[in-house]
Amino acid sequence: MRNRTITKAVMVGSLAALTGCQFQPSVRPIPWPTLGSAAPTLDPRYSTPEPIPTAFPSAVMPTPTPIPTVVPFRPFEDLDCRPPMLGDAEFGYCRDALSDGYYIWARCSQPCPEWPYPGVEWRNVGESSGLRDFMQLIEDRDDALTARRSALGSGFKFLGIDGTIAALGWPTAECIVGGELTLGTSCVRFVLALIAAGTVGIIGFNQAGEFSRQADESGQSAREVFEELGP
Amino acid sequence: MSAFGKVSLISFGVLLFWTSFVVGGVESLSDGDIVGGLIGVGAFVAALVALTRERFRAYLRKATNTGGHPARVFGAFAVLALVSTPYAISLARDPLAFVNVHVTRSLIDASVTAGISLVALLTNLFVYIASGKAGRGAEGMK
Repeated sequence: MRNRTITKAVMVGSLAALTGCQFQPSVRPIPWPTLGSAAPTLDPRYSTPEPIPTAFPSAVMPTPTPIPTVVPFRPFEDLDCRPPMLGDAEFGYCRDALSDGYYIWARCSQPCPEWPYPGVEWRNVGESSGLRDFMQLIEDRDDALTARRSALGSGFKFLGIDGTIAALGWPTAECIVGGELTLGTSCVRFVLALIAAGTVGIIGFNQAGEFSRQADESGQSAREVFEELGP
Repeated sequence: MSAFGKVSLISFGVLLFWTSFVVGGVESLSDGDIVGGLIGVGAFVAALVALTRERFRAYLRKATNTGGHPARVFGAFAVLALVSTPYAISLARDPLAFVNVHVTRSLIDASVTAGISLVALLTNLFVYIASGKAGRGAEGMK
């Protein structure tokens, strides 16, 4: 009974809301100013899009700039050389096969003149005391580089022997017997052999460094003489 | 002789062949360094002759069976690698590396020495570990 009364009340209330109760706003809308009723025009700067530039505007490719060819300098083959000849691709000399002159070449201390061989400059000179000085410096440089190689070889040789003695010579040393340090004759001999071989090896490496410096100095001096013998 | 002992002896044989016979011997003789060259060739030939004697072979067996042998082998090759590898790198960076024949030959000498040292070090290490595992495995089977 009670439920039926509530249902009727809800139905009547809903009907009244649909027919009579309407929302009345208390605030009036504000009349905002407008720009006019004409249709908006687009700025021509933006309305006409320009064609997008492409990486390849035409089918015809531009001709690429040729890359300058770097030619390794092989002086004894590239120049008309005959003995006497000495040096390498950076510093050296040889006799010109077609004249009584000599070809001499040296590493550039500044940017080289335009020619295909990188870093090296050559010229043809006649007999002079300057040329003899240059030739002597080239010989000194070559001797220093040979001595450097020999000294390095000596260093490796004695280091190899030293390592072999250290690894395989231990049983003869008898430095430790029964857990005690003996320092007997055989032990002293073993240690001395190790020190001697190691020292000679180190001397070899040290000398190699010294010869390397000598070769550099001879090269620099040869460059100075080369400039004095300039064209 | 154990596998590690054999490998270590072969490693030292290869090392001596290159450093003593080739670099310090034949090359020095070709450069006119008679004394240095003869020492290099002589050391290698003496080692070869000694290998034909049973007494020396017995000594080598004893040497490779001593307690600290692996440590000495690793130490020797590690020192050689530490010395020769920087030399090889510095020679490779030398502007004359492929320009001057003496520098090129020095680069080859140092590079091969460094290569032998590094390969010998790694090979000996590998064989030592492998033989140790095999030994432990065999003990486990007993």
